Amino acid sequence: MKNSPNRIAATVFGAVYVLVGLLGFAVTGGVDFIATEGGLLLGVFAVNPLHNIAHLAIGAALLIAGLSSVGAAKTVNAIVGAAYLLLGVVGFFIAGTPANILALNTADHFLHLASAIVLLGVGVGAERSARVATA
Amino acid sequence: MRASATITRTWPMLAALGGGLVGTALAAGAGGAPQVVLAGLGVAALGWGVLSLRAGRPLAPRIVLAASVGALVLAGGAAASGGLADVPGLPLAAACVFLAAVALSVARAARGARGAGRGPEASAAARSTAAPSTAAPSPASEARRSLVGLAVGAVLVAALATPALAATEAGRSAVPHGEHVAPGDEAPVDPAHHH
Repeated sequence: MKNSPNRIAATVFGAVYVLVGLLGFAVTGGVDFIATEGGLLLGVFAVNPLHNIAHLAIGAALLIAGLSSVGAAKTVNAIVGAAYLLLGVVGFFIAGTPANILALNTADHFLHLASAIVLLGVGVGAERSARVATA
Repeated sequence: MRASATITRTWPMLAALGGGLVGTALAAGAGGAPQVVLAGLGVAALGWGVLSLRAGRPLAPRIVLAASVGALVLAGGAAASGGLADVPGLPLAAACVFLAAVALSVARAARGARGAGRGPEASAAARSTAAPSTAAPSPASEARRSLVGLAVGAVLVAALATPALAATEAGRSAVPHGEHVAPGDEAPVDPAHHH
């Protein structure tokens, strides 16, 4: 595990996202399920219940993959990274419309962008050889 | 030297991802020909970044160098002539920084490829003389370095790209204005912020 950037990244990011998802529910008690403006996690990150579930699901997928194998971690990292990057691009086209169900704000963009870059980078760029699949 | 090279190896690709995001965000708020050019540049940068990450090296360095320098000259010329008066300054500057970072790295890669490409004997000799002088790092330390490099690069790119994205027309409407609005207690709609 300690020799695999993909497993390390998936496990760390997965644990953080699960934690963020759980904490998010503490600040979204009275918020509609897909409200376009939700509560503020840590006073900075705007979240709503859908956002929390997305964090939990993504975190669980990353955590399970990271604890499973290099191949699983690499696949999930690349998919989640690409999805987050896409979310970042699409978020600018849907902001300010009723489709803004993910309560995007600047801090969210930072989190998503940094996550996307690390996960996509490690998923696509690290451990390209099949020889390390058994690490 | 080798450790720092491992850490920074992916940074040009990450810069391309940041530049691509800013380019597409600028395109979302632009219109006409600038929208097409910015969207094309943005998508191309994103694609090059992902493909180069996958390849583990900057792909097509000479073409990317020419395109990056051309885009920088074009942006400078358009800004000087007032053609980019409607484009916000911070995202444009950030996009230029990302482009310059990519251009510098691919210029180095192109120069390295030219030096190594003087003949198979020369590159084989270079490999045979360089390899024994550096002990191969352990897989664990190599993995840690590449991951640390990715994380630091990602934070640097996000630190520059996020405020730049927020300053685009699309980004300004993505930022919640004022206080959190409780459900059923809608804030007055400002038509100027809706597209």
